[in-house]
Formats: sequence, structure tokens, C-alpha cells
Amino acid sequence: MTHDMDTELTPEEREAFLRLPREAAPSELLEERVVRNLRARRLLSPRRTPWRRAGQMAAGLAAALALFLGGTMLGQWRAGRTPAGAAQEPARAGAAVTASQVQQAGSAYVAALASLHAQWKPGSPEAGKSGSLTQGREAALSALRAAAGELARMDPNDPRVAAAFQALEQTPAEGAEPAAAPGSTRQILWF
Amino acid sequence: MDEIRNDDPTDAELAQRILREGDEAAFRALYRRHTGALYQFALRILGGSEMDAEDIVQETWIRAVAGLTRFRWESSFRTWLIGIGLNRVRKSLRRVRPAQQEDLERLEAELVAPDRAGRIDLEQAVRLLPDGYRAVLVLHDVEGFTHDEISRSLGITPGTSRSQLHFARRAVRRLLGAQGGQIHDARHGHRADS
Repeated sequence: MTHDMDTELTPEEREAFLRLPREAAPSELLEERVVRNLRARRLLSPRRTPWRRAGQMAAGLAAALALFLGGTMLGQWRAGRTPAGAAQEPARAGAAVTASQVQQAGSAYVAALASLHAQWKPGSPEAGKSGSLTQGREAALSALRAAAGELARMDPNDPRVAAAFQALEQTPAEGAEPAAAPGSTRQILWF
Repeated sequence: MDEIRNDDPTDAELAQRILREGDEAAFRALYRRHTGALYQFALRILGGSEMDAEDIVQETWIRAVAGLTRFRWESSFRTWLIGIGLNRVRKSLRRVRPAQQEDLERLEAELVAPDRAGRIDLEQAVRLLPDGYRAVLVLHDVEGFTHDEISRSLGITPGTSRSQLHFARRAVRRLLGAQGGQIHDARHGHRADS
């Protein structure tokens, strides 16, 4: 330290300056203020406690698990959306799909009846004696009546539907022999 | 402020943790170790304004942490910190200009007013000095700076620093004149007999 001019400190004066306190305590809030400021400037990271680290790890695991399960469920849902599954959703299928279903069911119905007819030999002694064949024929008639009923509800003023429905309602009681003459030709008009 | 024990991490170790991890605990340790000195320095050189001194402390720490990578550890951490604090203080002080004879006369007339003489200690006398005088006196006589260091720190010539110190010491002696004409620390009951 250099002291000069006529105001050179005496040893006692120098000692008096040295006795001045070297430290003082600012307000306790200042430390928090400084730390907050440094955090805001990203010069300090938030204090991390063990429980907080464990919590963060658990939250990370839970998020990963939820992501995995969500992905799996989404994959299964998308895989399950086959054409057949979609056809079971009338609301989404639309009128075109429903009409196609009717056509397919009708074709299957006629094909089944043709197969039944091939096994039905009205002139033979076995005709009408096979329980299975009779049951098949009755099932076909019941389906035909049910179909005529649905068609009549759709359009009650259609004369063809009304005539068919009326004729089917006059069908002999269950278990009676068919009234068809041998060799006669049966026509189904609406398929 | 916290005392340093042998098993405490050094300033450099704490600084490394701050730089590497943004370690808040390391910063708090460093803060508690040095803020007392920094605050006292700012408080004294600013003339006792606690609010201004706390602002200086905050700005100093922010600049210190932001510039920690540039610190080469060629001086002690506290010296470096006080240097940053001094730069902040300088902006708060009025421009330091060369002392004039009329400055001293006006100052002495004010300081030796009857209601003040004999009732103040050295700390209070220093506090009453105008900014420029007080800054040079504190830096030279309390902190141990040379005139070259003061001139660089405050942006004045070494000659101005010398003249400011001369007038500041005379002013303090006049202020304490009623107690014997010499600077003494009234708080400790010490007095220089001459």
C-alpha cells in the first residue's frame, strides 16, 4: 500500500481502518432473490431431492407404459377393422352394402332350395318320408313367409308382394303334405 | 456468513459444480462464503445505502456466475468477485472528477457542523464523504488498492486518485477533530495519541 503527500496515515490510523468490519449480513431474502434470478437465467438448475428424482422416474415409467398400451390397443383396433367386421356395422355400411347383403342372402337361399330340390323326388316312394327334407322345405317356406312379410311392410301397396304374402298365408299347416302335382314347375318371381 | 472448514469444498470445486451441473447447493455455499465481504464493500463504498448495496450484490453474483468460465483463477475468487462488484458500483457513483480546493472547503464546512463534531465514528465519517472521495478512501485505506489500481477501476488518472485521497483524509480528520484531530475507531474505543 502506498501512502503519500502530507496526509500519510499514522500507524494508529492505519490500524483504525483495519479494525473496520470486513463483512456485513444483507437481508436473508437476498439469497433467495439471487438464486431465483440465476434460475430464471438458466444459470442454475432447480434443486433436486431424491424423492423428486424417484417421482420423475415413476412418472416416466407410467408414461412409457401408457404409450405402449395405447399403441397396442390402437393396433388391435385397426387390425380388427376387416370387411366382414365392417359389414356388421349397418350404420356405417350404408344402403348399398345392405342391398348387397340381401342379394347374397337371396342367392344363398335359392341355391339351398335348388340343392333341396335335387334331393326331393316327389314321385319316388321316399318322397316326403325323409324328415330332414321335409324340415328343410318347411324352413324354406317359413323364410319365404317372413321375407314376404318384411317386403309387405316396406311397401304395402305393391300388388305382387300382397298376392305372394296372401298365397303363403294359405300354406297348409305344418306337417301336411305338399300340394304340388307331380312334374309341375315352381316359380319364384322376386329373386 | 459461513466460515470455511478444512473439509469444505474449495471455491474452485464449488465453481466447477456450478458450471457442470448448475448445482444450486454449490452456489449457495459459495454465496454464503463471500457475500458478507461483497455486501460490506458495496455498503461502505456507496455510503451506507442498504438497498443499493443489495442490488450491487445481486448484479455482481449474476455477472460472476455468467462469467465463471472466463475466470482463470489467477487471483482469489473473492478478489475477482469484489472486482466485478466494483465495476457495478462505479456505474452507481457520480462521475469522479479531480478534487478542487473549494470542494474541500465546502465539505469541511458541512462535516464539522456543531451537531456532528465529536459524535461520529470512523465508519460514519467515511459514509458522510462525497462519492468520489469516499470511493478512493475506501479502496485505498480499507481495501488496500494502489493508486494505479484505483485509477483503472474508477476510470481516473493516478494523480486524481492521489488528490482525492488527500482531501478525503483531511476531511475525515477535520470531522473527527473534536475527538483529538486524528482518525480513530470510536466503536472499539481505540484512539491514537499524538
